Amino acid sequence: MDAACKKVDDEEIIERYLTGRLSLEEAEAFEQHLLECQRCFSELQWRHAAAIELESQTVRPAVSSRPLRRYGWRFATAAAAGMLLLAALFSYVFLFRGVKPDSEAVIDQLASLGQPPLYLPSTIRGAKSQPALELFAKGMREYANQKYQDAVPLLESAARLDPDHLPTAFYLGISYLILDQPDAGIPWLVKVVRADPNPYAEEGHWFLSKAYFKKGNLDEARRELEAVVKLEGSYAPPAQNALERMKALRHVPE
Amino acid sequence: MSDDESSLGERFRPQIVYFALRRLRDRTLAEEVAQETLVAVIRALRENRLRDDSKLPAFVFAVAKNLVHQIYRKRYQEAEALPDLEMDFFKPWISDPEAGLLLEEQRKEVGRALGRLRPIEREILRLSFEEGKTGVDIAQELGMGQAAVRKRKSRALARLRKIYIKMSQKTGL
Repeated sequence: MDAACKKVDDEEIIERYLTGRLSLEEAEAFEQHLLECQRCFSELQWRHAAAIELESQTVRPAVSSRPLRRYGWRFATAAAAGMLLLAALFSYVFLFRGVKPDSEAVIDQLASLGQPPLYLPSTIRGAKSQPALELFAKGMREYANQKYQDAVPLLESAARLDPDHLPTAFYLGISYLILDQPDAGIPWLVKVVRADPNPYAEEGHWFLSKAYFKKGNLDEARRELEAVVKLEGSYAPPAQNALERMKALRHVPE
Repeated sequence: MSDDESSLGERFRPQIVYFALRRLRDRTLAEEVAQETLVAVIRALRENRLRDDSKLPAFVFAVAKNLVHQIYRKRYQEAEALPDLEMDFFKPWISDPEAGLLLEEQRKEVGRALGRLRPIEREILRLSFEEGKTGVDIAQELGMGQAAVRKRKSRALARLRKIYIKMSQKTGL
C-alpha cells in the first residue's frame, strides 16, 4: 500500500467521497488516484455496494440511540427485550385487526424525505432587475444553508410576485415538508406537478407522495407514486419499491 | 487497435463510467463518455502528444471531465439558473438507482457477506457509509471509545473484504 492509499484509508476518503463530504477538488484528486490504483477503485466499488445493501437491509429502530449513550449496552439489551415483548403483544393485537404490526414504521419510512433536493446557489440571469428572482435567490441561499425557516418567508414573497415561477413553488413546497408542515407544502407541490411541461414533475410527484405519507393519506400517496412510476425517470425504481411496500401493508388474514 | 490500446480500455473504462455516472446519472451517456474518452486518449497516444506516461491518468480524467461538461451545457441550456457545472455531482449518490444497477454484481456478494457480520459492526458501517458519520460521531452516538470504534470498523471492513473477495473469486467475477 503506498502513501496515497494510506491517506485514503486514514482520512476516510472513500466514505467521504460516497457521502458527498469531499470538496470538488478533493473528490477529483481522489478520482485521478482511482485511475492509477485498482486496489482503491475496487475498495470503492464494494464499499459503495455495501452502503446500498446496508441501506436496504436496515429497518430503522423506533427507539432513539440516546438511552444507549446513557445506560450502556446492558440497558439496551434489556430495552430490546422489552421492545420485543411489546412487539409480540402488538402483533397479536394487530393481526386480528388485519393490519401488519410494523405498518406505522413502514409508513414513517415511506414519509421520510431522505436528503432534501440539493440546491447550489448560482448566478441567476437578470435577478438584479427582477425583484421576484432576487427574492428567490435570497431564499435559496438560506435553503442551501439548511435554514428552511428563513427560506420560507423569502420564497413566499417571491411566489407572490411571480406565482408562475416553478423553482420557487418547488423549493417552497420542499421547505415546508422539511419543516414538517405538509399541509402548507402540498398546495405548492400540487402547483408544480400541474404545470406542463416542467422539469420538476417527477420530483414534484415524489415529494408530494412523501407529504401525503406524512399526513397518513395513503390513497393520495399511492396516486403520486404511480405518477412517478409512469414518468419512468430516476425516481421510478424507488417509487415502484415504495408501492410494493404499500401492498404488503394491506395484509388481510384469511 | 493494438493490444496496448485495448488494455487501456480495460484499465480505465470502469472508472470513467463510474465518475461519469455520478455526474450524469444516466448509464448510456456515461458509457458514451467512457468510449469517447478512450478514443481521444488513443488518438493522443498515436499522435505522440503524451510523452510522459505518468501524466496519463490526469489526461484521461481531464478528457472525461470535459466531455461531461459538454453534456451538462447542453442539458442546462434551457434552465434559467446558470448551473454550477458540478451540481449533480453532489446529489445523493449512494442510493441512486443508477449506481445500484451499475454495482449489481458486487451488491449480491456484499449483501451476503454483510449478513455474516455482528449487528454492532453492521451498525458502525451503516453510520459511516450511509449517514456519513466520522469515527468521532459514531463513538459518541454509540457510547463507545473512539479507538474501539476504529478497531471494530477496520475489523469489519477486513472481514467483509475477505468474504467479498472469496465469494467473487468463486463466482468468477
